[in-house]
Amino acid sequence: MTVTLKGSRIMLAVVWGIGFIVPVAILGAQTFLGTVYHGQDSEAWNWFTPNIVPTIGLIIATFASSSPGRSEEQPVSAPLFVIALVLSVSYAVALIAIVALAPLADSPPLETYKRSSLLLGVIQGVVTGALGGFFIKNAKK
Amino acid sequence: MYEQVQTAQPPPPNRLKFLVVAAACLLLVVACVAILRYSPGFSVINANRSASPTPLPSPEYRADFPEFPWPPRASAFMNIPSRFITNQGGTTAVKDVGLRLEEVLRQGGYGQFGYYHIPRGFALATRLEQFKSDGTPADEPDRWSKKIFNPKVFSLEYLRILLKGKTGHYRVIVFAVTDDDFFAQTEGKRVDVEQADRLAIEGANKLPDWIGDSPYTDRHWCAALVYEFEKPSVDQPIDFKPNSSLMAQAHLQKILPYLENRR
Repeated sequence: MTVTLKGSRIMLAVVWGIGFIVPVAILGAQTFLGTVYHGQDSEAWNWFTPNIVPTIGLIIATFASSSPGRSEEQPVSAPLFVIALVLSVSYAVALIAIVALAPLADSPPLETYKRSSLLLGVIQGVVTGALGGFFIKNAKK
Repeated sequence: MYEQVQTAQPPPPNRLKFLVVAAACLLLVVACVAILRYSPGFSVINANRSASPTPLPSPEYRADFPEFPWPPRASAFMNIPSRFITNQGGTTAVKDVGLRLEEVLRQGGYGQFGYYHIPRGFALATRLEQFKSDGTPADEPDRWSKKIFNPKVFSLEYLRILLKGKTGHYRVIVFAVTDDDFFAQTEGKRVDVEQADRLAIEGANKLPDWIGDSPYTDRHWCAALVYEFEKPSVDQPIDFKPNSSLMAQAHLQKILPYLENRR
């Protein structure tokens, strides 16, 4: 399988775009209706923001930056890309699942979010590392 | 020769005394048994007596027929037309109305209910049940649980919970049958959720004869009272809801069709 730098960026951007937009839409609607968090909506956003913004920032930065003397159509390292993509998909799915299923849990949603932060923190560290490694390696080629 | 004369003499006085004492004891035992047999207060012997006419309920029994908090303070109510609960031909006794309501409740899936006394009539209370936001009962076994049920993912109910939060809705339906003038809820007695949870199990299993045998007259009426309770979120207690967000008809949607369609 050959993936170009442009293609890899688009795929990763799509994954992270979905991982960002879906929870934002759910949290936005919940905040607007105002009955899920019983006046503690800011705590929900405080949980969500650090879990997505750093990685989204990294994705946007790689889009904005261009590698001098490097073609967008050149192939990228397939193993690194696959690792970055799989980890990104896993993280996005986990994030969406937590936001979408928290209201069904037998504990208040904010408690579920706090508990999930432990797992998400570990995955996010690995994902950000993989993404960073992937983009740096391809920028050096 | 002398010895033969000695053996031919009558029995000694001791043996005679023994016979007299034994006869006296036997008479005493017979007398005791006779006294106990016909004594009304001795239950062991009277337990196997032949059936006597059914005794009328004693005043103590009437006092034990549990009282329902009256006048009521329900979340919603509606009057049930008498034609749905009375016999179509001939007279109707109050107990017939009770049996008719029992039949309808069973058809609606309510397996347990308890009878209570209200002024000049009776109340029939169902078990505390959980229901969906549209008034239909929650699916079994969540229907009879106080734990807020989880809907199927991606169902409409799931979407509602996702956007508006997880709330639990519970109710008890009470049919009140009486020939009292009317009831007003202004100063009605509320029922808390703990009390509501026990209504069906702590009520009487049937109507006592002194209520059930009286005729159902034109002065009688039947009202369905709905006591609604809400759990605003998983970590908050269940509270009485003084004014239901649904009409009583929506609460009774599993029962009304059976009431209206008589076999």
